[in-house]
Amino acid sequence: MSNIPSSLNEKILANVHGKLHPKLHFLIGKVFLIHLVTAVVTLAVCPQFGFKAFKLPINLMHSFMVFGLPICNFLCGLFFTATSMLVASFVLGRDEMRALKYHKTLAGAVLLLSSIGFFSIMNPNLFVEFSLLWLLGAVIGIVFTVEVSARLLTRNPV
Amino acid sequence: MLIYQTHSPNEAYEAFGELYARYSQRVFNFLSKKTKNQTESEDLLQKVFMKIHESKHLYNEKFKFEQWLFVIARTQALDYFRSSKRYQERLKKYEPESNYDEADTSVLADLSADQHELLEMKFIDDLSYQEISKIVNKSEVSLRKSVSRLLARLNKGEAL
Repeated sequence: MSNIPSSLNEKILANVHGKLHPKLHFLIGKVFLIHLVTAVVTLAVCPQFGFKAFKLPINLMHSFMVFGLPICNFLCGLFFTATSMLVASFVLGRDEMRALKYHKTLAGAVLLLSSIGFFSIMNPNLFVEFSLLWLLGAVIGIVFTVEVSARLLTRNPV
Repeated sequence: MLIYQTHSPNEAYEAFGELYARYSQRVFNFLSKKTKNQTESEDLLQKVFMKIHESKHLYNEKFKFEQWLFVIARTQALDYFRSSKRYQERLKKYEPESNYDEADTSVLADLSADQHELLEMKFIDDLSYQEISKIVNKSEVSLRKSVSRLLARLNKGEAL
């Protein structure tokens, strides 16, 4: 029996290394695009900016408001980022989700800064009205959803 | 395997490297035996390990990793053969001749999927009893008995 050529060994190992370590700028770019699309849809049904593109039977903002403004801010942040990360877990590959789990600080920073920037452009006073609780909810939304999705996707639950 | 499935990308890569170092030569020998061609075996080895990587989340710890790996290697090899010209030519050699008794083919048609699989592994894939026992998780003795029983029945032309 002949031996495996060393060039083939290197090629296979390099392919797997490349899959396990996707290029960070591509990965963050993909997450940003997913967040952009998801955020547009989320905001389209949110009355906060007055878009109200679709009329839904449930008004999430009013439902959150039942618990008072601080909890509403927290839940709003949580929902806003968790939906993006949930969509990302369906769009991205398993290895990409695993890589994202280990780069969630960077991904979270990009998502939050871009969101805050967008809110500031749309309504400069709005973010002042938002509390740190919104930020806390958004951070928890990112961390929790990425952790759970990456765990579910990397291993057969059976 | 658990590290490869769930840990950080760096740890997963190290775990894959360990699995590759441990099993690649054996998989390559297995493929070389089937294809009898160096280039085809190299292509298949690459496909097998990429398939292992893509399907790692499907691996179930109830089964031995080696067993799972060889099932994938065998499936990849069969898929490859089915699509290759060389295999089609080889199959033609085994096609029944025009005066072949129809009753003989009906006996074959009565075989269960497992019996078909066993005969295919033994006589088309040319695997040893040791290799088949690893794939189907049965002892070599029981496989030998099953094959000889099947051959005896086929010779008699009995419906199974």
